[in-house]
Amino acid sequence: MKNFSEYIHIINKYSPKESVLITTIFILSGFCPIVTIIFVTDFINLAFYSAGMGTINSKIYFDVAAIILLYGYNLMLPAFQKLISEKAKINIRKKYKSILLEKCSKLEYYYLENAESWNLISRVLDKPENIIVGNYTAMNQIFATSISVIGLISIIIAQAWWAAIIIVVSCVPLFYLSIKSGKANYKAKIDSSELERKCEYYSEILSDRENVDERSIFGFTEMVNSEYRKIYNKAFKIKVSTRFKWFIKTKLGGVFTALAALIVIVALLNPLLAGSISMGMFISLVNAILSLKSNLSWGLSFQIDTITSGIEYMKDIKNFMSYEERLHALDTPVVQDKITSIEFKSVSFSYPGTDTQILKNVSFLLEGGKQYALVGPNGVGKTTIIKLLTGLYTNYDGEILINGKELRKYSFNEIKGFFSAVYQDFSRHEFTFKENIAIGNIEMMNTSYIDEAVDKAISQIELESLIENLPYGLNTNLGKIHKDGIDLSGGEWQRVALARAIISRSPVRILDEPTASLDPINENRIYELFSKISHDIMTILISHRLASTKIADEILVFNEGKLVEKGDFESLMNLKGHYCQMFEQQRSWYQ
Amino acid sequence: MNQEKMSYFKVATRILAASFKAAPLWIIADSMGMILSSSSYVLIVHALQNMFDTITHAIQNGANFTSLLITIFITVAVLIFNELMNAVCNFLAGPTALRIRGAYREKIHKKVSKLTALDFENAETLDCIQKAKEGADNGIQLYHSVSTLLTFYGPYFVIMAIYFYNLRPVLVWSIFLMFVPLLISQIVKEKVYTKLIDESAPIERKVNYYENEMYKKEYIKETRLLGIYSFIRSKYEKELKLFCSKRWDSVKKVQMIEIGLRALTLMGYFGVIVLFVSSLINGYITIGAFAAVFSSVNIMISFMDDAVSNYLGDMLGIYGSLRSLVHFLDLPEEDGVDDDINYSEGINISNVSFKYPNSNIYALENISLHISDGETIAVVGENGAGKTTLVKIISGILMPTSGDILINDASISSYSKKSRFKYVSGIVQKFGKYKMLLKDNVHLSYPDNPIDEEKVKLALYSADFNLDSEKITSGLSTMLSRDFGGLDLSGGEWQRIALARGIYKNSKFIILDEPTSAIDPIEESLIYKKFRDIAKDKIAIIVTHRLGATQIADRIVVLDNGKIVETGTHEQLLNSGGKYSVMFKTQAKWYSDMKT
Repeated sequence: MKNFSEYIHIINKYSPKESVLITTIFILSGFCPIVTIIFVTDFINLAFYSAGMGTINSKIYFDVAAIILLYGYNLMLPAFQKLISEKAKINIRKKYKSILLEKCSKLEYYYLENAESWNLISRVLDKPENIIVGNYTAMNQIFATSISVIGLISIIIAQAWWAAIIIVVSCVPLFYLSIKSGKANYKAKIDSSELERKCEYYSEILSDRENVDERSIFGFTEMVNSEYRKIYNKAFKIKVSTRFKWFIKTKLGGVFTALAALIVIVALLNPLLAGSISMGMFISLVNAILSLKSNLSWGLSFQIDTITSGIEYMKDIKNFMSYEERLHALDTPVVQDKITSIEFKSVSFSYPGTDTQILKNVSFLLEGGKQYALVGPNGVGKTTIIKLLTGLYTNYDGEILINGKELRKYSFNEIKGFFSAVYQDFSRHEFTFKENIAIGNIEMMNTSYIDEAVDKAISQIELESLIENLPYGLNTNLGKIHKDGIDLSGGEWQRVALARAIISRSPVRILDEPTASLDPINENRIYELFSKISHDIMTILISHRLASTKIADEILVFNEGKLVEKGDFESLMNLKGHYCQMFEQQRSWYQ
Repeated sequence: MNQEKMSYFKVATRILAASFKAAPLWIIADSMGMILSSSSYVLIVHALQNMFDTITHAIQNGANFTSLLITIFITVAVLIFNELMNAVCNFLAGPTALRIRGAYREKIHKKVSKLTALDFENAETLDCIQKAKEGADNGIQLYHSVSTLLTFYGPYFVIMAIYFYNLRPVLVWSIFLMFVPLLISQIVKEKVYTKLIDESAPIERKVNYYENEMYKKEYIKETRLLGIYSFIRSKYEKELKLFCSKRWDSVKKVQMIEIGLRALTLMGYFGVIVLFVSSLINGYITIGAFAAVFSSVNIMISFMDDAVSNYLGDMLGIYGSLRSLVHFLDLPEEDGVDDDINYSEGINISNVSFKYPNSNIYALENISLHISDGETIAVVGENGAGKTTLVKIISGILMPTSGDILINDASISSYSKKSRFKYVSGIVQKFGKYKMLLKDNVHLSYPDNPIDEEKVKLALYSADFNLDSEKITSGLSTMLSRDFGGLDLSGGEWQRIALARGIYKNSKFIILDEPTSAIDPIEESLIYKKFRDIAKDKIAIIVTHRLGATQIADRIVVLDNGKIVETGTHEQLLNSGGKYSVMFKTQAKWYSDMKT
């Protein structure tokens, strides 16, 4: 019930006018059948009378006009409703979804990396405006149906009170059943949705471009197709049995109204024969019940389904709202002038919700102005170190000191000011070319210095010839969402990301395997370029290619979450440890 | 692609025939249900008329209570029958559609497997497959529309028209009074609607994109560090505002037209009422008939609306995608003879050139090469030199634009797809990361034989995949990928599985296209040593960036701009001082002891 009222609360707050309008039109539509009964009764009686007399009572025209008006109202209702709901959806998307989005942008980083919370976030942000307006509408529809039913019953009470009571009493289990099977329905939907996703996935394997080579060589179409059939049939069974139950529930409502009609007709038979109600009244009551029939059998079930899943959605929203936020997550960096040192003191770390220690008691000291390389096999914690440094996770044990001060004592926007980074999965921002680079230094972006800085970054990364080929030069939109947008190749995007990193004024520059997809010759070219322009600041480089790490002043070798070796290239080679062994192995190919 | 020539009728017949073949029993049951349901609606009118007339008669002439009760019971029984039939045919529509859909999908999958790989280089084909999938869904819509119109609405209106005619011939006009406004509405909608709805869609794409920039995983690391939330936000708000106003404009226009059109329908209603009231007042019809019709006019109009705007409208609207489906199923297929290919004479590549569709440049030009049985060839060259294309052509995935690949003096194109690949295996550049069980991931390469778990293990071992790792919780039956509740693997681990897949299949010819691109160079060298075993007694082609690794090959082919510039052993090429030696020396330099 509380989750219920939350919907009313949201729509009242963010789209008050429309919420009143929706309720108004539905209350009116709730009264329609009752008013219709009055006019139809009068109309039929007059028509009956006129037919008997052979003359027309002119009051009948008035009744016909009223009936057509009422019918017209019902006919127009969906269009008006659509219009108002759309306005409400727009309002909610504008005002409420922005709140959800902002909340999400502020979340502690681990919510975004955790599969479970991420699923919840995706659910919450998937068209909330439709769900909210849909639920509010369903509630109003149920409300309107209730008004009609109550109105109808009060008319019947006046004629035969006992029939009314029978109808009301038998209503209760019907509602109960409806709600209960609504919940079962929701569960079954979740069960079959995984199977359905699987089917879609198999269909993709069997028909997409990505897998065409293996499909040809291995010829697995038949095998996967039969697997597809199996899963499809399983989903088929679940869906059909759910549908079957849903229909039983739905049509129970229909059968019930038919029986209610029986009770009403029989109950009214005596007063009708005795002349205490007119034939018109009798016919219009029967008509009213029949038109309620479709409402009760289709509409009600559908509305209850909507509301049942709506309640689950509201639970998700509440959960989401209780997620912790990272302070200063949205703020611009506070530029830090200098880095003198970064020190890890016995740092251990596990990702929240997991037991495996990714970093085990790691200690090292990095000094300003030098170039460092982190090496080691996949999954030994190199990227985790970067995540800790850039303040994405703060729940580590031990100490990380930046310029002698514990990292957690800096505010997040100060931490941001220390670092710029290019990741392996760097973003391809679909902005203009210039913006793509300029956002690397957001503070400067709105000043007049930015043009010069962007030009400098462009010449440093040697992007001039690329820009010459763009239709609007620096102001060309990149990516596919703009009509006039130009999509770059993977390598070109990569260079744009590098330019974005070097425009930043932050004193530490991080390169987390940004060149993994390049061939060795091109990778080396990039690193040499980078070391040339980074001589006065600290750089931290992560790479698998050991030859590339030679340019570093110091190389840190990690294995299984521990720092195992540290030193410059020559001293590591002399040490004859891990690094030397790996290097020799790679070198042996060239002898 | 000439799609224009097929007539609607031809397309529809083919689709309907295929639908019927896919689920004949369901379709028959569904149609029976609809016929019964539609006649039950007519029965209601009859029963009501009968009941009202009996009651009227009772009021005027005194009551026979039992006969009264009987008519009432009959009416209620008809109502319940109507509910049940309604439920039956609505229920049946679901499984029928699902059955048809599944059958179409399987048909499409099979068809895809018969297309050539070259077709997939063509954007049109991809588009065609996409449209065919949509077409499959619309095929169901077509079936549903046709069967509903034929077995539900058709009988209903015909019987109602007969009923009206029997009451009073002029009343048949009331059917037209309902039909004409709705038809006009439909025509107006067709003309005006479609244009209006789409206006906001491109802007919505932008809005969605900026939303993603604000919170999706692939952006947030950077968005946060750069502190560009406000920047994105302001872009977002600008587009959102534009989107909202555009959207509101179109909705307003569409709904205003809708309201106008509904006014037209209201006039039809008015006409019907007038017709019946005058018949009643003039004594042409009984009060019971009037009351019964009066209570069904709403339903009749809503049926008519449904039939015209939903079913009839849809049937016309989906023609395009149905045509795509039929067109797709008619695409030419590969053929060729089934035969056991004998590799003992090796593979002869004779003057092969290749051009991708829609490209003016030859990816390969005049390539001639003979590969002997049991030989290991390494293909090297810079990015874009044509290495992958060459491997795809030799293995028979792509067919050359000119020239030929001869095995045992027969052109490779004369063999059927199945025989062409019977003994071919390997790892391609775009290897699959299949969201399936670990063992199925490996078994996929040899699908016609039942799975041999020991052999799967052996293949994984050869590919250096660590089965004993603690995260492989259920051994060979571990589900891979998070999407289906399994575990995530790193790129390197996936590549090892792809390698195992290539090893698992019994082959005489193996291709290894950058088989270690996602594996640390540190472990790469270990794997390369194993290739020697894998390639033993087979024809093997390795594509690699890592020039040092070519030493395991008997012969090296150096490609540059689609042409073979050098061939020879490692020593020969190094001594000749050509392209290979330059590339090799550049890479080797980095591993010299001197600090650069």
